Amino acid sequence: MTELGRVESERIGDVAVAWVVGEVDISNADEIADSLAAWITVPADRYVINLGKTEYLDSIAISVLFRLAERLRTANARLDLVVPSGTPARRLLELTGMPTIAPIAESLDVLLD
Amino acid sequence: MVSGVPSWDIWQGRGGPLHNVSEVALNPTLALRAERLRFVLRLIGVGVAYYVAARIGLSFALVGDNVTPMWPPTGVAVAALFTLGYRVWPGIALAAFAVNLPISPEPSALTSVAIAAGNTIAPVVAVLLLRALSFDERLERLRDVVVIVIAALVSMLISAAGGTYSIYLAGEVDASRFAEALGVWWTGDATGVLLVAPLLWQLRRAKSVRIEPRRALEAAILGIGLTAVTVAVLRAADPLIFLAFPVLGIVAWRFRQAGAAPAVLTVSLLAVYAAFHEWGPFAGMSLLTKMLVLQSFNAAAAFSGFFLAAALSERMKSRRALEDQAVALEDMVRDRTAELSEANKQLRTEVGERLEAEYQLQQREEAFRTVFDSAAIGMAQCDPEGRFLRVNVALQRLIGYSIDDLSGRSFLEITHTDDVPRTLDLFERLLLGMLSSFDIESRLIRPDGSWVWAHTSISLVRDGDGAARYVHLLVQDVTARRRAEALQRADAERARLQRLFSAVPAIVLVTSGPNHVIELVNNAFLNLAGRRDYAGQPLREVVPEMALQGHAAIMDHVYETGESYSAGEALLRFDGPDEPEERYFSIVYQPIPGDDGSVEGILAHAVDVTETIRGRQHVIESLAFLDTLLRTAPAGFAVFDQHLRYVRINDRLASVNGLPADAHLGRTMREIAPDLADAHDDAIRRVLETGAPVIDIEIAATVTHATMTRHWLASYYPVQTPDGDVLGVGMVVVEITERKLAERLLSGQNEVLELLARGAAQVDVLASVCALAEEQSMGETRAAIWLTDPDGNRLTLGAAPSLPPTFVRMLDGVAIGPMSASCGSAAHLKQPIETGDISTDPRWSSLRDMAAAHGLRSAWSWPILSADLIVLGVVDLYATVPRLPSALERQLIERLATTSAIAIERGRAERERQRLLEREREVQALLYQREHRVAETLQRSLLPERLPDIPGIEIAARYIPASADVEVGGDWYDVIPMSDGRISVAIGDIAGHGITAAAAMGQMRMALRAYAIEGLSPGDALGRLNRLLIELQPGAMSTVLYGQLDLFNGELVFSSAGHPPPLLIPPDGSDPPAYQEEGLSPPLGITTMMEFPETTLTLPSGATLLLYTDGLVEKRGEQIDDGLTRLMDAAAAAPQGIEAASDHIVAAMIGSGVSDDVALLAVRPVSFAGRRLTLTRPALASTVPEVRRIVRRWLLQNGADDDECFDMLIAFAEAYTNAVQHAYGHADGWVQIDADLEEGELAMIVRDHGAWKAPVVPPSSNDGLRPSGRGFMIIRELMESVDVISTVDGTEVRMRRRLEAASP
Repeated sequence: MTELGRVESERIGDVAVAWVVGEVDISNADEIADSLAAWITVPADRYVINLGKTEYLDSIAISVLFRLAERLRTANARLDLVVPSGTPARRLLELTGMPTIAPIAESLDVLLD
Repeated sequence: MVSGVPSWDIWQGRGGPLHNVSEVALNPTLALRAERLRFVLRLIGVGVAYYVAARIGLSFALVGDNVTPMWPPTGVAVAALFTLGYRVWPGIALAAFAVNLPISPEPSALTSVAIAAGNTIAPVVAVLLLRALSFDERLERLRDVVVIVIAALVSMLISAAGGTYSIYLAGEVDASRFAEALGVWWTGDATGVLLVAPLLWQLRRAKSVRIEPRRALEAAILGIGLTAVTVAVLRAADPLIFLAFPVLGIVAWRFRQAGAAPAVLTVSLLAVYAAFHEWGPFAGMSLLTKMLVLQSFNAAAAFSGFFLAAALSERMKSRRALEDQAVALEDMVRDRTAELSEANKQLRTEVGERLEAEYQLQQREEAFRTVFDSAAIGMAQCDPEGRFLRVNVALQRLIGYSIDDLSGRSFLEITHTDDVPRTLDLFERLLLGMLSSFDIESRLIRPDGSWVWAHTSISLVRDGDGAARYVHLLVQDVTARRRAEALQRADAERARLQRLFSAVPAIVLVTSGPNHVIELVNNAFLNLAGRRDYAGQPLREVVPEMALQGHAAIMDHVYETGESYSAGEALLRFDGPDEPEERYFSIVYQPIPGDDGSVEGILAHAVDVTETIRGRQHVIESLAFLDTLLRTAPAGFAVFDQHLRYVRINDRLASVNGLPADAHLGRTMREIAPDLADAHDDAIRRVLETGAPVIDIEIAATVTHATMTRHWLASYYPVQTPDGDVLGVGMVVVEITERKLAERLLSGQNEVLELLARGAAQVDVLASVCALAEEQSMGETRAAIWLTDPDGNRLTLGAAPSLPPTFVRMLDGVAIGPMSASCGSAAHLKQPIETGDISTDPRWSSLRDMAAAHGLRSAWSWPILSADLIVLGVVDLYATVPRLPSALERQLIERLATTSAIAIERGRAERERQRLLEREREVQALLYQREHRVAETLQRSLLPERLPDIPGIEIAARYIPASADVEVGGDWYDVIPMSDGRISVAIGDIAGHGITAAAAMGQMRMALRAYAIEGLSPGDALGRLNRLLIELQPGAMSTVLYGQLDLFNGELVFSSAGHPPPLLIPPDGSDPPAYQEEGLSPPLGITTMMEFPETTLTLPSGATLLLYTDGLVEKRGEQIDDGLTRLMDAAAAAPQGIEAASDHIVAAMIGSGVSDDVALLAVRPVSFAGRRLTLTRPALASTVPEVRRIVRRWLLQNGADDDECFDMLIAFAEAYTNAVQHAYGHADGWVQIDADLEEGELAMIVRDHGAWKAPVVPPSSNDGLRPSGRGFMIIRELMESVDVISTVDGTEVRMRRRLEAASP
């Protein structure tokens, strides 16, 4: 099946980075959530979700991110998001108050510097 | 009473002075009346004047009452007629009548009339005369005086004669006194004219003359003087009457006619008075005397007075004319003088200036010539074309030409060719006025061909009008400087090169000229060749060893051809300070080009590679121990150096060449085995060049010490040090002669089988077996094949193409038995019989001699057995020498026996098969009808029941089964929405008919459906389908076209496995339909090793892609191209709607009756632009991506920009997702969407019919984690208005927003 969206992860030093690639909506939100849940089981100092390659996300996807941030917070870990400003996704995240839960950075470079 | 008198003007009143014509014209009646009145007044005036004058005259009558010495009325009459015109005559006539009536004798009336007629006619005649003689009444000319006297005398004769005769008739005078009376009358009348008329004319003039007081005083004095003197002389008793004349003269002199006329009248009147009263002079005179004196006095007075006045007038007039002329002349002279003097002045100035200018010019010319001729630098003057006009001595000396050589030639002609372009360029700019002068350094050519470097300043001299006059050249010889600079540069260059090269570890040698004179050597060279001064000496003299070793010759070649030379390993030994040592160099001889491109010298550059080479050789030598290892190896081994020479070879390989191993070393293959050298050398070179091994080169040769061709496989590989340095090339040789023979046998066998398969006659097949046997055996052999006869007792001839016929005939029909030659025995024993020597074999006892006679010395027979071990015949091979077969030959015969068995059995089987075929056909016919029905049903059931409804794309499909008498086919098509929103379209045709084809079709379609859902690209999907088909139905073939259409951009990616080309019909008939022939590969089912290329085309909105199977375009008796053309025409003429278009195309292409089944699939993307979107989908999460894509496409095609689109899409998707998630709980249901855009106002409705478990809009809590709550918050943020309408039937979410980008 042609996948709508997927999670790719990489590690930069002590930072775990996950890319949400493609689209996330109700039809695949559970899969994405599972992938991300698996990803945060890898021990790391910091977790970063890069939404630079995310073509679409809706409130359900945002809920997934909220839950993830909440879980990491209770585990005393930090979640950062990377979304370039001016993109519709960034606007949506700001609209839903995401930055209060997880800081949003312009790019991975900016975040890791 | 009147005759001869002109009367026209008198009665008509038109003879007078000119009247104002315009006045007449304005008011003719009034003007005419005024004119008549004036005329009547004039008549009366004239009459009265005449009458008064007459009464004065009569007062002096001397004869009776009517003859007077002076008759003034005649003067009045003449003056009036002359001045006022003839028409006043009636006034004169009436007045004359009135005067004469009382004084005329009886009958007085008649006499009066006669006298009056004469008195009227006379003045008229006088005036006629005056007019005729151009009289001027001013009397300023003498001729006027003469004229009036003549006129008066002539005309008055008429009145005098008339009057005198009248009174004579009346008896007033008698005949004796007639002459006297006539004389008095005549002179009186004439005197009247002479005295009165001029006075009247002068008075008329006097009206217009202003009289100065001084003149008036003078006139008064003179008038009084004249009167006094005249009275005095007339009173005097003595005849002193002439004394009046001087005074009269004075008056005439002073006042001319104005004075003369009254003066004369006065004098005359006084004289008449005196005569009448018989004063002094007249006392005692007879009447006649008195009259004569008086008349002559009066005439003289008038005459002299008028004459004097006229003469004076004329004189005065001519004097005045002369004076005027003189004044005019004087003015002219004065003007002319002034002009001349001005001209003179100007001329003088000009002459002065010119002289000055000439002087200046002369001075300048002088100076120029002096400078020009004596200048030390070259100077020249040229015309604007650049041709020399003048050349000074210095320049002539500099360029070696005389002025005569140069005249008429351009300075560009003596400029060096290489310098001409830039000189010309600057010169042209100079002429165009872009430059006023320029400097250039160029070479000037001397007559002997040498040149001088010259610095030339070139300037252009223009004349006053700006036209180019001269070009001036200033030329300085800079040759010396240039040479010095060049030398300096060369020295610097050499020094630089010396520095550069001295540090170079390689040898550097620079030579010049054909003798390779050494210019430069570096330290490395000196170290090897010895430290000496080589510079300036020919190479052959100072480094003779280089010449001896051929290097000088190489350098000669490089110098002559200009081609560089390089050698990787040149041997060079210098007689240097160290002991002479052979060294290897990687050497390059590089030509040094001069300015003109010819070779000036050579740069030699040599790198010492001796150590490298020595090291390499050492390695090769150290490998010697391997020799032992290789010597007894079963394969051949050899190692070659880079010059293709044997370095090592093992004994086995050496023995093939028939030489000991040592004999190979240092030699090349070309020397050992020239036949094999080409392929061999080529392989080694390839290994050396590429560093990669060359495997399995086949080498075949008939080696000298053996009789048969042997075959080897040779592989070559680089022998390298661990550093990768190639030392040489290794060779491994394996003999494959046997394998080759076996291969040949196999191929021969195949050829035989092929003959068999093609149904060749049995005898031919067996003959080819014999030929193969003879060819494959070693040495000379003859083959024969015998067949068992149907009884199984004898052998009869099958084939023996090369055996002697006599021998064959003898053996033919030989009995099968234990002692029946080799063949009969073999058939009998069912075993091979090998007779090594016919002459000693008892089986051949009876046939021995015959065999010997044909040179057949041995015979090997092999029974031909069927699968069930029945003897079918025998293969015989006869050799010309007594020997047993070799193992190979034995194998050969056995194989051929097998092959022969096939051939013989096949003949039998063929007959059986024919019989069975007949039977089969009968059964088939029965099966057919049943199968056809089943297949058709199957096929129909396997085609898609209905095509998917996908917003934004129109699809039509047609399937027409073949006519009933033919089996159903395997045509199919499918349309599959992919999960990423693209649409898969496929059409296919499985070769064959019937149930199998229909079943395969179903499998193919289902498989492709799976691949589409999986997202495989068309090429990959066809690859999978191909493998599937080969696995499912080996030997089946199918064409399939598979494409994926992206509705966002209309891009269609497709691949066609042997399918007819799709037809693209552009929208609205804008362009003709066109076949898309890219992306084509062979049909499926041929081999699994196949790639399926893809191609991409763009399907704009409204364009139709037509897919079809070959049945549509194939028609019996028609070329396929014609069918394709027909389809194109049908498509071009098809109506707009996709269903109607499909019907049209099918009808046009097929008509009635189809020989093959036909499938047609038409696909047309349609734009959402300007269209409302309505859609109903099951309430399933899996529909969300698809619906989102449709809405996104709808938004974009309706003009929303990317950002707006994203916002709207999120808002919509939130509403849709919410309905899917919550409207129906776990039950099934539908969600409808409805989107419309009007005037930039977007309205979207998401509608469901569910009974919500939770409220549609959650309580506005701050629970940000609740998804539907967050969803609605997003919708509210992104839309301008959101209304949620819940009823028992369900819920509607209505969203509105203005789209900026899509607003009109």
